[in-house]
Amino acid sequence: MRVSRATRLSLRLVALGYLFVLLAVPIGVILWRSFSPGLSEFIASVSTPAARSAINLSLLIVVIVVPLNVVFGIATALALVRGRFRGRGLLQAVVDLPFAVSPIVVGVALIMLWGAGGWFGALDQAGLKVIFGLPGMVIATIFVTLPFVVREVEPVLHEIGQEQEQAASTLGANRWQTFWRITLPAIRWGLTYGVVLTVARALGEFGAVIMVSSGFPGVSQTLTLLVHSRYIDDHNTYGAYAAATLLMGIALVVLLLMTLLDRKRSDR
Amino acid sequence: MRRPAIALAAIAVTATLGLTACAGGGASDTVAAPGSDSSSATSTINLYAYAVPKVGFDAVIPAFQKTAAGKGVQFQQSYGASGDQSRKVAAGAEADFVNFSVEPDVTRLVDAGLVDPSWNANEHKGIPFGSVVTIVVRKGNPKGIKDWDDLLKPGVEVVTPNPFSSGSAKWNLLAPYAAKSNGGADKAAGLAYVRALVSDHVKIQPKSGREATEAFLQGSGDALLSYENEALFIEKNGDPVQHVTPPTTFKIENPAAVLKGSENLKAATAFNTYLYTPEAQKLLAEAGFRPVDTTVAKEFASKFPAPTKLWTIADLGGWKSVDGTLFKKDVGDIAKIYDQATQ
Amino acid sequence: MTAETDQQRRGAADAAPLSPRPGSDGAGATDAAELTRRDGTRPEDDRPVGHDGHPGHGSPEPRRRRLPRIGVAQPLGIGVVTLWLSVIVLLPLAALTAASFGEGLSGLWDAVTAPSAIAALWVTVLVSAIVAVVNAVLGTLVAWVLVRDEFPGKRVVNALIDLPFALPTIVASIVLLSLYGPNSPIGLQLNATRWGLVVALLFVTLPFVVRSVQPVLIEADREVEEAAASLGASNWTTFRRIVLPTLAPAILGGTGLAFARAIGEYGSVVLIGGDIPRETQVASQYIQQQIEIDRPLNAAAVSVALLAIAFLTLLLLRVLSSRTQRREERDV
Repeated sequence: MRVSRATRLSLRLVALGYLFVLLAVPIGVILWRSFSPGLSEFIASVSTPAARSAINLSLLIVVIVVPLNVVFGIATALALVRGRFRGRGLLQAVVDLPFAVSPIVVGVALIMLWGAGGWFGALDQAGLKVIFGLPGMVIATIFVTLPFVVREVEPVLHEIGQEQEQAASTLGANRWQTFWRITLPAIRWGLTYGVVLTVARALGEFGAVIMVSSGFPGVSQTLTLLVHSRYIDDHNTYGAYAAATLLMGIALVVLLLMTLLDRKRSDR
Repeated sequence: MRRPAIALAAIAVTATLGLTACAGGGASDTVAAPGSDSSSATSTINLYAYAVPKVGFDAVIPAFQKTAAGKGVQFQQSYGASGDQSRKVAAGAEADFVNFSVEPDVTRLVDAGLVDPSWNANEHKGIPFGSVVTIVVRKGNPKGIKDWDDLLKPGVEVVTPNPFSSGSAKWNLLAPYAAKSNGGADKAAGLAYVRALVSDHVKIQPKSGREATEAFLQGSGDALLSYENEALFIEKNGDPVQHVTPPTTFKIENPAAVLKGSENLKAATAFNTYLYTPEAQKLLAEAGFRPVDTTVAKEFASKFPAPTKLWTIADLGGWKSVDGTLFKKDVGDIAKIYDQATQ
Repeated sequence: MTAETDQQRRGAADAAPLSPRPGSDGAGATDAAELTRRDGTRPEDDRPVGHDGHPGHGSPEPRRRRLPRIGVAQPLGIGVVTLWLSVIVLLPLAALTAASFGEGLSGLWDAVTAPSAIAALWVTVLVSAIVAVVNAVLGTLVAWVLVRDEFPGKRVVNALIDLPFALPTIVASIVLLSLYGPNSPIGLQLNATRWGLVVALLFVTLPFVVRSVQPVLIEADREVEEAAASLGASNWTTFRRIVLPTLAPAILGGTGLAFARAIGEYGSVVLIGGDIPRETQVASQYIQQQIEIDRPLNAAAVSVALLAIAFLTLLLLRVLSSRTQRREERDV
């Protein structure tokens, strides 16, 4: 489409105006509230022992969740794109379900499954504490982030087709060689973006995690839970804003890194 | 084209470094985390409580740790909505000591076999501290609200949480109900007041007491029904509000109990006992909670003016009867009023 | 195609382990593609192929043949994937569904059809539908500007789009309340109204449509658009006849996800919504309330209803977009 300058400008104006009102203004408010008392105040607020252990826990969960999502996400995407089997349509829908399930429902469902009186309650009695421990928080996070890698990798897999893989295979490459040398490089960018979304969501997830966490500061409180507990339990609004800003900062770093990669991609 | 990329990379790296640096600071949090220095601890008490008494425990716990019984005892504290916390413990969260907003949350644990049925057998019936229902208004009291009837004046908007999800909302509604019904004797008058209040003056229905406070501080409504300790707390925080305790109001009793299967039964019991000592009672009173110890109560009489008439849950027949007749969804009278008001 | 041959082909395909067999697989793969299409399973299936067979390329091309699987997508791989999805997603939801049937089917029905439950579901669906429509239009617009327009700071704007995912919803709620609450600095009072819900949900669901339309727009063939323009088609016609059909599956897909996320959203609407039953109480708040009053069965029942709505919506959009795609091909 050759859009006239006027149209182009007005479309740009509408889009940026929309983003400004919806996104920039709220985020600006958070930043303003975090930094208006001064940088040292901010740093003091996000470097308390509780905050530090919350950062560590949040990052630990991300570090556990991302590899799992990458491995199983790629496997799922491959199965959905390349596989032909009964129930594929059902699998497709199952992958999207976590987007649709209310976080509270996730929490309740996980407790019904893994909790002391749940289906797998025997595990709990055997001393393997899933709910109200780190495993529960990890499982809840995996649940809500599960679709991202699959949904980002899948279209790329479609697009690249299989000619190259076939060629490699004809030339005698085995399955793993083909995967490592052909498939993985091809889906790298989709994968990267999927990982970025996973990280962002894993950091920000609240509803599901609070239901399965014991909520001890310094032990089982993620950064998001810290934001909530400072705001609700302590009435420490400033601390909540500061912790939220830190959370956004971490996410923003991840997003910026992604932008860099994205630039490389378009430069190719 | 390359330079912006480098700039972006620089920003990203700087930001990362900056954030990592933040993680290295040293100040201590008001959250009072059990630091890594707990290695020498003899036992750790897992405390599950509703959000409001956190200020109280923040004062009492360090004092307890200085006593002989509390020496070396560490605490892990979890705070949240009373019902949520109670359900967590019932679902298997490892707790040693619990403190809730309303008695039914403890009863749930008794039913689950986690708390001994005799938990409330002590002198104070398992209630280490309490409060009264009060009305929080904007600074200077522009609407001139002094008593329950003032809330029904035209144009007054009242903020109180939803009683189906909040313990504090139940206390809030029981106060005018008891005042108007003369302790439940004239049920119709009490319900008529609640109906008028709920249908014409309560607009938003926050989920918890703290959310109600936040909505009020953000500008919703002219009056907020709340715990007296919550009112004292936000006043101390410097928010532009003040509170008026009506001459006839309601006694809030917040139960605490020790779990019978606790691994640290001795320490948890010691802590529970400690809460009733004059020393702990004083600290709680300073944090805004009405002490149950009579001598301490006398000492703080000026801070906690005695209302003309203070109704209690026992006057209305206890929680079991109140919950069944007033708050039970679809059956209870106040529950029905809530349903009708929003139709 | 009879069920029998289909079965045979599938059997053959499943048996095919590593080596490609281009000769025998061409036909089988087309059938499989056809099958998928008839099931209406997945619009994205066709996305990359869609603009290959686009008008303007001359005669309708046969779609790209699907070749045999290589790599992880083997029976074993599929088994592992299914197991993974089951443990993480299906089993918890199954436990929940089982609980919702705790009082039998009639108990479930009563819980879902209770007036307050219906009201909450209705508010949820209504608000989410508005949010989905706004997202479809403005999300596409934003994607278009981010792909086709050039302006300083575009990459930063592009990176910011995902931020709502990372922001804890409780923070979104606090900020929105201070912006649009009674003390609003811009004099816009949306507290405790359905519009407040809409704004909160728009914030949370912003990335979905933008992110699903963007890649397709990047891939889309601009020559076709230029050809249409040189043949005298107006911008609007070009957009309607050429661009929109290409984007339709992606827009629908993104809108579906946004809708699904909106109906489940909780944290961001808590403070701004006011939680007024029959007015602004959304289903997830209703669920929360049912849990509070110790009626987990009702909570589970309404959750299942919510899941069913989400599931049906996603399915419906799939069918719809695969139909759009087919119509487009027929028109060629």
